[in-house]
Amino acid sequence: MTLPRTLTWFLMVAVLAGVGLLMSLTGAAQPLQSAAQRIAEPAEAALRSLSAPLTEGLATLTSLRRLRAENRELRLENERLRVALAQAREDDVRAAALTELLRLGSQFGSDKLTVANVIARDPTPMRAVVLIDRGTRDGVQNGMPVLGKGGALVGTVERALEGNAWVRLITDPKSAANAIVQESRWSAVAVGGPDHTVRMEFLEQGAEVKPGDTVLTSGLGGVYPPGLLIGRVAKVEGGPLDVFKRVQVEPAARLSSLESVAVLTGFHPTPIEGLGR
Amino acid sequence: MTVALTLVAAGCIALLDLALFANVRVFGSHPSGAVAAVAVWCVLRRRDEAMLLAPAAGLFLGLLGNEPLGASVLGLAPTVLLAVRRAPLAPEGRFLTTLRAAAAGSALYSLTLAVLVALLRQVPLAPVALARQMITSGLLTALVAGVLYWPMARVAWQAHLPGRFQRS
Repeated sequence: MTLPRTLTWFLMVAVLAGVGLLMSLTGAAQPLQSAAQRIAEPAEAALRSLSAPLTEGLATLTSLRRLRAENRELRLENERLRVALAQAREDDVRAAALTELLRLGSQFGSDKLTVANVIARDPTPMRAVVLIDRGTRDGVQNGMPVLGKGGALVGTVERALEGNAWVRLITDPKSAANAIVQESRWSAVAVGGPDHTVRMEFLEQGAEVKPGDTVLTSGLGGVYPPGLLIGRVAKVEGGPLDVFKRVQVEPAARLSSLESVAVLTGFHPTPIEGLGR
Repeated sequence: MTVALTLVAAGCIALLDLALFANVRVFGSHPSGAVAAVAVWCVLRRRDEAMLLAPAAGLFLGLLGNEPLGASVLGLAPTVLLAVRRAPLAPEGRFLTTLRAAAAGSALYSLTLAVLVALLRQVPLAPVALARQMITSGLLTALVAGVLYWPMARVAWQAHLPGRFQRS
């Protein structure tokens, strides 16, 4: 290719480009461009759809590093949010439980109740004992009754430490409370069983007790204040020849999933020798 | 190849460039299929064909694309000049010549288009972004030209020089 020929060609190209640019500048090119685009549009769309997987694949490949970093960041954020959500839900549950416990304050006097969280369970077989996060420095003493969220009897403080206390639940075999059947006013002793149940002992054969009856503390013996809900009669057994009826009581408090309790710090037990355990 | 077929090829190149290569985004830039095809054509086919193909493809790009009409006509001219003037006599060096022409031609194409668009449509020029675009686009276009070269060399080779380099 000789230089003059190249120059001639380049000049022709420059003139053609100049005409095109002038047309663009004046707007004269617009109808031409619209028509050409209208004609080529189907072919262009078909090509674009055919090549879409390739172009998308390439775009993914080139942004792989960014996507990885973004994915890592999002996973981390997701984990943080999950933790925050779980904590918020837990706080809600605790707040609801505490609110219910604080309602008991109006019943017993707010200065006579100490709200506590259950922080451990005694793993010893056959025992039903839990550890709470309040102790002697919070006014908790041995023998004080412990109530559940709704005010039902949960147990008694067995051993108060400085910052914690062990609570013996009413289902513990060592537990006993003088009780009364609310409907018929018959008295007996509610004791815990080795199978973590509560039954009433020393209930006379003639006592009028039926399933569904309410069992409360009687206050006899000075270990518990009177009128605390223990539970409902679940089953009544015993033939006419038996000396006492066998009554099984279903505790009102959900002892298997205790999270918060209230210690009746305003009540100081004064056990009378020979009564209760 | 007749003039009509060259024009059809130019139309196809413009279509492919707009529908396929414009969507291949790598590091924020895309290769110029038209520059790559023109560079390969210049090296493998007759010069007069290339000199018709480049402005025709540029015209089609202007008609079908969003750029000012004529901008691509001017933008593709450096590729032809680089490829044709540097086309070696021996076939062994043609591949590298194609790559060089595609890379440099693409960079100049990007520069030409950016300057013309800035002048005609009052779009501000960003020198750093433009330099990055020129380099990335140049490398990608050279890659595309390398991919296009071998299949085109097998089916479309025609020596633009007489004598011993013509395919037997």
